[in-house]
Amino acid sequence: MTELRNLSLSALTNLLQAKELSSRELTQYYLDLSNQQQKVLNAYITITDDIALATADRVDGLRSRGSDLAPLAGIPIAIKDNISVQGVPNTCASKILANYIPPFAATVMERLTGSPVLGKVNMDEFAMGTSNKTSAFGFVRNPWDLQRVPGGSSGGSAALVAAGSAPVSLGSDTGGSIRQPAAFCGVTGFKPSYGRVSRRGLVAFASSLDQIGPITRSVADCALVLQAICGHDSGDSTSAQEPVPDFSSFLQEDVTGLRIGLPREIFEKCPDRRISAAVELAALRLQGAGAKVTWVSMPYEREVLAAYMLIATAEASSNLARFDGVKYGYRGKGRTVEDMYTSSRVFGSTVRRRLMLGTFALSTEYCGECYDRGKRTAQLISSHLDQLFQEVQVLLLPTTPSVAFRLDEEQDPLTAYYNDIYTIPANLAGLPAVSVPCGERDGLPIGMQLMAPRFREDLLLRLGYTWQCMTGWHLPFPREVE
Amino acid sequence: MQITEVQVKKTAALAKLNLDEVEIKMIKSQLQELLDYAEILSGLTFENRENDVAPFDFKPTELQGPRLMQDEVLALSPDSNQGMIRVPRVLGDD
Repeated sequence: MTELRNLSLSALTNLLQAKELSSRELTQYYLDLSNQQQKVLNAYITITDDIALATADRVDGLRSRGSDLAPLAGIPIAIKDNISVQGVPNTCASKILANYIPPFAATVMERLTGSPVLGKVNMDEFAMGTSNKTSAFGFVRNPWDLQRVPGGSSGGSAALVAAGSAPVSLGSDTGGSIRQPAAFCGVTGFKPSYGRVSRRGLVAFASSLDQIGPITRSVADCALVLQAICGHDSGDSTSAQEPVPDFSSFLQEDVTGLRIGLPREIFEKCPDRRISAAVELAALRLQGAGAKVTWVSMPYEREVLAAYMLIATAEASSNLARFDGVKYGYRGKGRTVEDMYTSSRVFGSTVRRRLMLGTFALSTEYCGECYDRGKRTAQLISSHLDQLFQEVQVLLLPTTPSVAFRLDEEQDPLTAYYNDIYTIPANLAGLPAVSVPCGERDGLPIGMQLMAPRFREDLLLRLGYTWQCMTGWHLPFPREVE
Repeated sequence: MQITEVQVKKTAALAKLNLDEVEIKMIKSQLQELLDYAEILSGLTFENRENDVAPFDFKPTELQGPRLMQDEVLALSPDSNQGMIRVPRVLGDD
């Protein structure tokens, strides 16, 4: 039999439905790989062997009795450790929540109830970071080069899927935290439109930017996961009423007439010429396949970063105020309740810095209209993107300005933010975007990003699927962890 | 916008973060760099539009769904007694 990790989600579900493979066998296969590679990658915070196998057995039992099951029932999945799985620690990679066990399941987990959870995946603390080095549970290694970062904040998720120890992982994306690690690890990472996927049960970082999305080995696999997790949720006040289409129906190998825009300033200023060249080459190949490619203008790189810094940190300051040692989580010592608050907030340095910036930005005395100015800038950027999407249907650009950097490379705070410079616009405007592998530089993956108007995931699936049918950049596994 | 150590200390108090003197100096310079970068936004002009703080339509709805019971909440707390969460004294002497 072909090794299981080479099979698509669709092929795996067919095997399960035909009972040629049991969910227990499939889950045990991925648990074995996960446990073996954990010593090298440190991609998990908690591996949930017993829970995963119990779910697998339950699904196998239901299937043997002829019950109707969801398409992904029996397919194992790894979950970023900021998405609540009932009864399993949800640490957000922080000392503060090291022993926090959620009494409820996130909505996305309720929608994936038949999927065995392999474990809770390592990440940057409270989803703040672009390297997975800020976790209180140790850094994660990139399976393509163990001396390099996998990206962040969904670094563990991308590393697992790249190494083949999970067929799919759910991550979260606030400024690029699904797409950037997907690019660094040579896998496919999809951020849906804001509001497509319920945020209930996702520990909030920046409420107007956060979205849950899949990291998989292909666009086709993403379509299946999106089908399961998208849809209105009355438990999330920001959940969109938009109907959920049949995402897999958009997986057509045809981009004839599709209008693709390349943001000129991004390509001209990309600090790594081999990345911009690889993405331009991809555009030319898609043009050869019938797409219409044209240059467009996105001249607001600095404004994007500045707006994001103010919005994300201000909202984080508000959201993380709840971690005060009172109701849950770590409680520090204190003679008074004020002392208890400050001694309980044992965040790492990156989180502390961002909370300081965000609190400053929200302080009327010091920063006046900082947050408001950030939001109005986001609105300007969103309006400009709306205008661009009158000329083109999809924007195509590099996902990141660099390939995966070294673990021992120290980045100043501004440089760390700059890692997300190409991914942030989609979050500011609430647009869907996906990163797919498109090349390599010195053995390290290069990702290209596709961005579409809000609720037009269909365009991304069509273009991404066509690209992956034409090329094989998404297929190989890294040798470092073989 | 120049940030001072006094402002850093006051902001830390607002954020309920314990910063030592070394951290205060380091965060001051990091914040200054980030705020200097964000100054670019002060050069932008915005039209006076209603409802333009969200880049997309957003109509908050009342949340529905199950809520936690008291015992579930208390099970999460670091310290509880007689149905209440216990914390250090808020007012008065020891």
